[in-house]
Amino acid sequence: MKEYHPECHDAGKLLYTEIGGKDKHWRFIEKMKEPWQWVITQHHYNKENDITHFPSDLYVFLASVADHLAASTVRLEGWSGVSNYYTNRLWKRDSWDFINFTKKGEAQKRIVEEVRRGESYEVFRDELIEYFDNEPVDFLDRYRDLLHVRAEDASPGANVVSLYIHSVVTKKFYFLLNELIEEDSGIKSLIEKIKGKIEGRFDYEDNLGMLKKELGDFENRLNNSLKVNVIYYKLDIPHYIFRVHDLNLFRELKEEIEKIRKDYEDNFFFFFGFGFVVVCGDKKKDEIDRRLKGLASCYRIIVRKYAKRIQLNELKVQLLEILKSRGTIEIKGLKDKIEGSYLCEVCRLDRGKRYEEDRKAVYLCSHCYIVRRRGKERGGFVKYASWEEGYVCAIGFRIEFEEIFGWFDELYKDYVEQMKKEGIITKDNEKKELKIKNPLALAEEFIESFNNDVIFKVKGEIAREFGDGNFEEISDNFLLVHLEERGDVLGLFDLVYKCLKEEMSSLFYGGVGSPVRIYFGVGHVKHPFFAFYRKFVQDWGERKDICFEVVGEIPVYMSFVQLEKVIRFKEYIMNNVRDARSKIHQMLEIARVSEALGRLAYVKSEMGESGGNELIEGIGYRGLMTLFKIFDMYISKGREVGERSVV
Amino acid sequence: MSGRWYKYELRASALHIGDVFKGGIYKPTVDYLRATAITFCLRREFGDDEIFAFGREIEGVRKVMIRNPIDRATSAGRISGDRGPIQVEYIENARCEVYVNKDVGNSVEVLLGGFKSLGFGVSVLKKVDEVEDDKVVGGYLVTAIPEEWSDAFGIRRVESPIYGYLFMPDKEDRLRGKYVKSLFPGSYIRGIKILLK
Repeated sequence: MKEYHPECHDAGKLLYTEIGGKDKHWRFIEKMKEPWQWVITQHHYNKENDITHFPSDLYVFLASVADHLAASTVRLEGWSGVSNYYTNRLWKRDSWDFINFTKKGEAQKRIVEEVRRGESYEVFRDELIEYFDNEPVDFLDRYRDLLHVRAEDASPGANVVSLYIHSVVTKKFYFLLNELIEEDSGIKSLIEKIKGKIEGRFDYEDNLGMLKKELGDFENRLNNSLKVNVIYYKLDIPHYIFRVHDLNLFRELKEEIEKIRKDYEDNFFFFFGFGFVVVCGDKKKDEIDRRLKGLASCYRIIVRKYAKRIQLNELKVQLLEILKSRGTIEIKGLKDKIEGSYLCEVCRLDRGKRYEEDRKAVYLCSHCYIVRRRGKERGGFVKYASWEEGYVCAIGFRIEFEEIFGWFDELYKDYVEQMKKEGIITKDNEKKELKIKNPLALAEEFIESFNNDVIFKVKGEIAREFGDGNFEEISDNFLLVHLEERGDVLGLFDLVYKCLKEEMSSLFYGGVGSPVRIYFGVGHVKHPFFAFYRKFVQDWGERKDICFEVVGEIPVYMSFVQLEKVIRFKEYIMNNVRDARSKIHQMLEIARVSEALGRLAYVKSEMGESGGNELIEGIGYRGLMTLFKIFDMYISKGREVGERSVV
Repeated sequence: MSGRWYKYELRASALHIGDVFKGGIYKPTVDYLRATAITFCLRREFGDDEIFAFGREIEGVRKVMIRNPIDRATSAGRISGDRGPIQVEYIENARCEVYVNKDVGNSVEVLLGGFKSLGFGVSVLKKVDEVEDDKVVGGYLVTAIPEEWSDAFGIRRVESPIYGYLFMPDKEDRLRGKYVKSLFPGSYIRGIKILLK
């Protein structure tokens, strides 16, 4: 089945062709000998008037069904306007492109020439046509850049999902369909009928409309009959990790999950951190369940599972419900009572046996002992282990999946509004509520963008600005940075703000609750790791995008809009550093004696008018005092304006 | 057990409800008052083994005190690396809603939590209300309760548990005891409303 390569079905969208009529992108190759060539040329049979462009076999038909399941379907009926072939990502509001609305042929040329600088469109077209003479084993990697730029759907207002993600999701659905059909014995007769219809397709040569209708009906029946398991897994690590070697747990867990993901690659969606969604049949569900239960008992982690078995055609509607549902928790092998004086120091879920370690007694269960021992043998995290003095800042990134779809809807409304203002959408159907009907591909794209454009970039910038030796990656979304002073965390604020502003600017527009959560925890370098991690995974309450915690101080919760205000306020302070330094210092000294007097000192300092009052609205007086303490430390280090502080 | 609970307000200038965490120099505090801590505290105070109590979230300011324990043999402070200066996390100006199944008076002073020798844990419980709560609803547990006490606390069903262990002291020697499987905050249960977030 692999040789059908359903991910290539829309390869023609990278080209413009007039062969066989305008916009029949699937006709860009003329050969129809190999399965992948059939998938390309026959998956749009419902727009064809030529029997040779109808599915040659069941698998081509399934590729077409998968294409429909993966389509973002943001297009609304009754809309008109100008097409746009460039992908505008909803979360990059400041980069929305309302200019590149060129004619079809020109747009394709411009995309190719912009991405592949120095290569002409004609050369590329010939190369692509030739490429499909042989099996396209590396299509997604080879044309990744172009596929990312080209929108899956160029209709007015629909260019919000890239062709790349659409191709990936189509491939996943194709293999899912095959898996479900293989498992479901009740579907055999329907499959035989579809096969029969496809084999006898030449009988309909004079009545293609009837053939389209009947194949369409089969597609609906298939989607109504097939049942699929949708499971949202979330792995929690409740361990009290305070030794570097125990961090091996994160490493091993990541490796184990990667192994599972690799084995069931086409069933995995929304993979981020230690959470993911699996869409699969019963057999794979049992296998994945069994492997995760094995991880739960082996590593003493908590596996949260939110599962539902639904009809395939309900997937788009039910996904959000599943992400929001409470689900069950898998945790195995717990005893009712544990006799003895010690629990395991790390997992605290079993009796701790006494072990000697560097001539000291430690109490660990056998599981945690083995993980620690393997951690010692493998080494790693040497940078973190080598930090003897100073402070550490833990930075964690989270995505709240259950909030992702609502956020997309809000952003999309804003996007359409902008398109109308620009005159790009000239007519719409106002009666219909603006909603992204199938946000699955969009969510996949967002996660990819958050990983590659934000987290990856933040990691690189930290290593560059703070030095590679001062940066340790614990897991994909949890990092540690070595700081000389606690005030240095403001440099990290700047850095993260800059990356977010460049790559995810929609976060900074107020009134829209985002699914992104970022944690900054600052403490002494010997502060136990678990204290940071626990706060990171906790629920921070409603509309709290950022948690900034300095050990011993009140945590400050703020939105991204407030983060921007903090950055601006810091700029003000750095521009008035002499005046601000004495005022802040005086205020903090007074506040140490009395909160009420501290408030008075704050009013008298007139820092409220310079931005402080705007911050109080979001984080409160005590939160502001925490920030002032950090500002005080930052200024005390003798920084001047322009030195790693101003964005 | 009847659905009558006596609501108290607990106030303490500094409170450390330890996370039963052995070793290490950092002693974290939890931000809820687990049932075992307040129940055994009141049982000791009143000599009544029929008392059951729990507290909800503890509000206040989290702070860290750095304390260098004295080595009794040398009368000198312990040095770093040898269980040297410890960081004790505590909640300053702690306030917490406490529910007790028996009326223990209008105002009670108790010693609660850890590091009492440092002056932590002096707490005053003031009665504020009586609550009749028989109605069973679903929600997330707000405190930690030993599973074997579920009935006493009106927990009807546990739908999605988060388990951990709490220390249960022996009757004869309260420094000895066992760890019992317990429901921790965030478990989804069906029970009386005052137990839920």
